[in-house]
Amino acid sequence: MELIGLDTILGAISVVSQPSVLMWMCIGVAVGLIFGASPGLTATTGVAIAVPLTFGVNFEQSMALLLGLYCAGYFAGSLPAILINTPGAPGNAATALDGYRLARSGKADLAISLSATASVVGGIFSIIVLMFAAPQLSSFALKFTSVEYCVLGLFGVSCVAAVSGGSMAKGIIGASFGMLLATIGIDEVGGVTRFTMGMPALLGGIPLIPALIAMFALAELFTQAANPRSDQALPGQQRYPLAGLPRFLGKHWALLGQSAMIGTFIGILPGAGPTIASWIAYGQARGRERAGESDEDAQARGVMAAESANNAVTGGALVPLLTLGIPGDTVTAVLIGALLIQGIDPGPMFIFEHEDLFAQILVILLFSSVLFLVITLLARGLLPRIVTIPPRILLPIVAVLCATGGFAINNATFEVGLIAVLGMIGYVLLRFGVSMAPVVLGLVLGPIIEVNMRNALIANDMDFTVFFTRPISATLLAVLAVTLVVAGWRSFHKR
Amino acid sequence: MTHTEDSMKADRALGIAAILAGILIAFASSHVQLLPGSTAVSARFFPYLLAAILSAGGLTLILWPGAVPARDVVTRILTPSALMVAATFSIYAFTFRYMDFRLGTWLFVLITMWILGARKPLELIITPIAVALITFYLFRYGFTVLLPTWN
Repeated sequence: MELIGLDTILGAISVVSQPSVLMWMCIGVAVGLIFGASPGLTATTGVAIAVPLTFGVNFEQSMALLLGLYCAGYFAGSLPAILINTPGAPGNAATALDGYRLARSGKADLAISLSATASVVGGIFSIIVLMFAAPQLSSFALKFTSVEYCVLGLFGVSCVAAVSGGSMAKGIIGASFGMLLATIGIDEVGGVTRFTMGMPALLGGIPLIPALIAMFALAELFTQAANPRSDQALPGQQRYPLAGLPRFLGKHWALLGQSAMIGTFIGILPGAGPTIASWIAYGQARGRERAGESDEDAQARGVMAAESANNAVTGGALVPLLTLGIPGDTVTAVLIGALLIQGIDPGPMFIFEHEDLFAQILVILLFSSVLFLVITLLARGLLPRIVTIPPRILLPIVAVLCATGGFAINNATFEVGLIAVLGMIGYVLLRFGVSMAPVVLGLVLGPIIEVNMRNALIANDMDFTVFFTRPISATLLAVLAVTLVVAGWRSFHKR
Repeated sequence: MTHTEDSMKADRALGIAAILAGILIAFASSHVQLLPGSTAVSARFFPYLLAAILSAGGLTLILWPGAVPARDVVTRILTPSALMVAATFSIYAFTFRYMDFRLGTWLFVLITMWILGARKPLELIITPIAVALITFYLFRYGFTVLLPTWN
């Protein structure tokens, strides 16, 4: 086990505590909160824009800006998800399910507080993992081939049971529809075009963020527009005392730990990212109903699981970056550029040659997490007021943000039109009782399953048994089978 | 037999739509180009599989539908205010590239607010202008997003 000396950590704390570094960190966290909370703009966009600004600053200032932005950006997407049912980033989509329900029942304050706290717990957990087990875990992650990625995708799809809103058949229809949407465009394995209807803009496939905006925000917006006056009967937003938070955290410490582990582990896998992590954690948290549990408790579990896993990806994704030079997600891919600007080549020797810099990264991640928690908890009284804006004013504002956010992704109007079309399909599906969550789940996991399944089979001469003979894949499949059998058994006995 | 029992169930309508969509997708999949040397898991394989799953889900709904009549769901879908907001948003979205963002957004917010029941003159004057200008300047200068303008 690689341990960093206490003097190195203390030295890093001393460096990071310098006013100039803290100032850059504050800027990073503030910009991250803004970018993360704006639909269509993500932490990746923010970090990409900020990287050129780091030419003129030293390593610790550069990392303070970028890692502050990274941590805060990942969390901040949960704010619009909770308040207006519009996830700021794909990784926050699972948070919208229960967070928005809490907000609609007057508990936006609670949802935001839990989301921020769970994010910090997830983030700190992943920092600890990064500190103690980075080299070992990255070697393990390298054993993942297409076979394991495909099975991991199947594991994610099992969450349909938790997010289908009561009807499994409708959940399956929704997930299939989402996966079919994901097949549009150029087939990644064969290179042929599928279902583009002659539209060149569709060659790249259905972009995820516009689809999320359409399915969650716009479909819900049209539904609310059907009866705007009824929303005036919404309960007033309750102020939740901070003293009550430890009760939730203490009660659900195991769930927080489990979700943080899921997030960290998936973060370590190159290319997997926060979306799949938060869905799997959410599915694990909400897949089982607990007897006598209140709606508030159940929804709180959903928010905490999704956000803990989402932010745990940050530290996890840095593991392969700092130990192998392989980015774990899109932001860490951009961070390579920032490290190269500082003359540092991330790779197997980074931790050994630059133990002090590695310690500074850990401390910056820790400080950034605490900083965005403090800012969010200070602002939590103000944020829920958004939900109390009358629908006749709030709905048009949300619609404008949807359109502008869609445009901002590629500076293109195609996405705006796509949002309108998918929003209307989503509205009709919602009216028929099909929850949007399985659709989005299918959209996210469809390509992971298809591409990896086909690659795995092609690489193994079409031998389907490869999914059962490789140890990691077989273990994951066994866990999946047990989960499904237990869920089915419980469902049968409930009847 | 009561009226509710007699009428078409919403789940059955959705089930029929899912099966039809499955057939349509299977048909469209059969026209996806296959490259020479394609294996059994070609570009058609996954869409075929999903079409089958979609149809199976539809069949399940037809066989075991919920109690809600299709007429109720259709009535809710066709609620005038929802349709008007959807139509206004579609026009806003599809004219996004041609309109000056400030003008288009002002007009969209004004019309949508009116549809949703806003009648106070001050609210109708201030809100659309404020939303259009704040969003424009935030995205244009805050996030450097080049929103469409006429100048």
